[in-house]
Amino acid sequence: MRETPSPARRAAAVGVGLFVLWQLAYLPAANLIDFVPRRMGDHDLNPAIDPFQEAGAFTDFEPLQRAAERVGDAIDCWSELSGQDQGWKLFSPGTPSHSLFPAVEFRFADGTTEQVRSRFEPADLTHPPMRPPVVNDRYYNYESQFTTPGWYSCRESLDLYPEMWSKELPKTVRDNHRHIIAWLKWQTALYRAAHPERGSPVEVVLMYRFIPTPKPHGPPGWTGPITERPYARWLPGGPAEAGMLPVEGFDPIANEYVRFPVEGTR
Amino acid sequence: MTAPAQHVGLAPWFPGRLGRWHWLNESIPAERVAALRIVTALVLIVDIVFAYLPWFSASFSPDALGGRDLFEPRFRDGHYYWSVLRWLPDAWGPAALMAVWLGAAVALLVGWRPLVSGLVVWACAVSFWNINPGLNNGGDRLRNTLFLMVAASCSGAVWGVSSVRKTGGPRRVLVPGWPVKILFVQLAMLYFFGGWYKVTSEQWRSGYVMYYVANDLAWSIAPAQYSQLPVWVHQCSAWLTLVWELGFPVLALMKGTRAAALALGVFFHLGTFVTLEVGHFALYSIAFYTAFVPWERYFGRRADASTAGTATVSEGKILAAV
Repeated sequence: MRETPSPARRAAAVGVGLFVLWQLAYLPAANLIDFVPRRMGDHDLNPAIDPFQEAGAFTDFEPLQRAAERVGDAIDCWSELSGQDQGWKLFSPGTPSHSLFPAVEFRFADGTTEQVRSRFEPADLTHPPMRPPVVNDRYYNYESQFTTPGWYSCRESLDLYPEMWSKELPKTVRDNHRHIIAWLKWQTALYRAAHPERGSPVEVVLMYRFIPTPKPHGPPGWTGPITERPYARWLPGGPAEAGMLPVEGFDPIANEYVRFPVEGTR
Repeated sequence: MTAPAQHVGLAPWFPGRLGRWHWLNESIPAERVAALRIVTALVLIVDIVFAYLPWFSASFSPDALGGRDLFEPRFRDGHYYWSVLRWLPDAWGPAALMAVWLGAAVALLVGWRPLVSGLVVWACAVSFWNINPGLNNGGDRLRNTLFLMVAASCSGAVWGVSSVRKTGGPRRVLVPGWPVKILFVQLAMLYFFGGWYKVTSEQWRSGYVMYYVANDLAWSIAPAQYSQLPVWVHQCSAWLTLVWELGFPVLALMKGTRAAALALGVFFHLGTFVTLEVGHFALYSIAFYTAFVPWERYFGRRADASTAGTATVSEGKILAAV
């Protein structure tokens, strides 16, 4: 004879059942909702918290738009509480025809400069060495935060989309100023520990170094000319102007640094 | 005559027809989720020891690349990201929580109170994931789902110190299959939507994308070797990736293509692990596949394989847990 489950066990079974159904619906829904344009509130921006979400509105019919946004809010809530953020875009829409590495350039009061390159940039491009998996991966991810915004910003792309790059690339510096400053401060501390005789730099610049990829069906090897461009500049002595952040973003179209007011940043 | 199977864990209640849907309600041999638990714990230990610890002080010190306030905008009002490390001092919080995390991973490995140790592992994972998002890639989001499902999967029923069946016991042990179904849906979403974003790209459709990935000196961890492959091999690998990713939800469900689709998945992740700087993403992804292998056939009691029993499980079907 089958034992009748206790009320507590039945309640638990219902709870587990609802959780399972929610998870099974949540996973596809959390991926699909990214395609449904939603209006971003101030709490979603500066910096944008969900890089996968389409922004805007998909209909003029307000109740429908609002309903979709409420559904999206519920999905986001569970994504954030449970740590299950969705959005799977690695190597989409494609890979640029160059490798991009960050470098840190220290500029001193006497006009001299020193550059420290990424530990991942091969010193010898004719024989780039193998790297072990996993052990440097998290450090690599940290460094990639700085190159991801400009990954596609090669000369050809700057020529094609000058307004977009002029506006958006410096903005990524503003949005990410906290960890850009942390990174440059840490790099400066490491450099000063290794070179105590150099003193303190007056500017520390986060550079982009573009190494062209050999063309498919062309001669092999990374022999193309390497180009460099600033991405951000940290002023260790403090901002050039009161009320501004001590970090500035580089506008690659105007070829000048852009300052950001502290007000309005998070 | 063989002993009836022993059911462990709480069978969920589903309304109406969902309660009679075999795929959702079937029980599975406990060995599958036990293997999932063991492999997941091993991957986590590798992640902690080889990926986190070498950069630990730099990653979590407020004087370097971390600190509980560095990524403060992530914890803004109107959002629900959280981290235990926000409530602990920077001086000892990360080290203490990392020790708890490692301890819980070992507990999960040996199957000691896997529900509690699994939830602790998940809470620590979310805490470290949020306190320094710069260290993460997609593998960290994937692992959060993995840990949650391992915790809920009754994974300690066999092959652990909390097992209900000790070595040589006479009965098969079955557990609810829904955590494995959720893991399958997570993988299906990962691949399908990843494939969807890719197929809208001209570079993916032409197949040249994998050539450029192989020759990207930052992404490729063996660029000199990887780039030696002919261009057409890169193109074929891109096209195969597209077909496999977009087709995975169907291919892995159909009997005739299931084994090949899953084997290709493991091969794909192993390939990216040894060629690209994807690190723990590949390892956690492979851990998912552990739940789809009929381990009970290889390591369970020999008598089990021929037992019809009273269970609803579709034993004898290869990789039936999908």
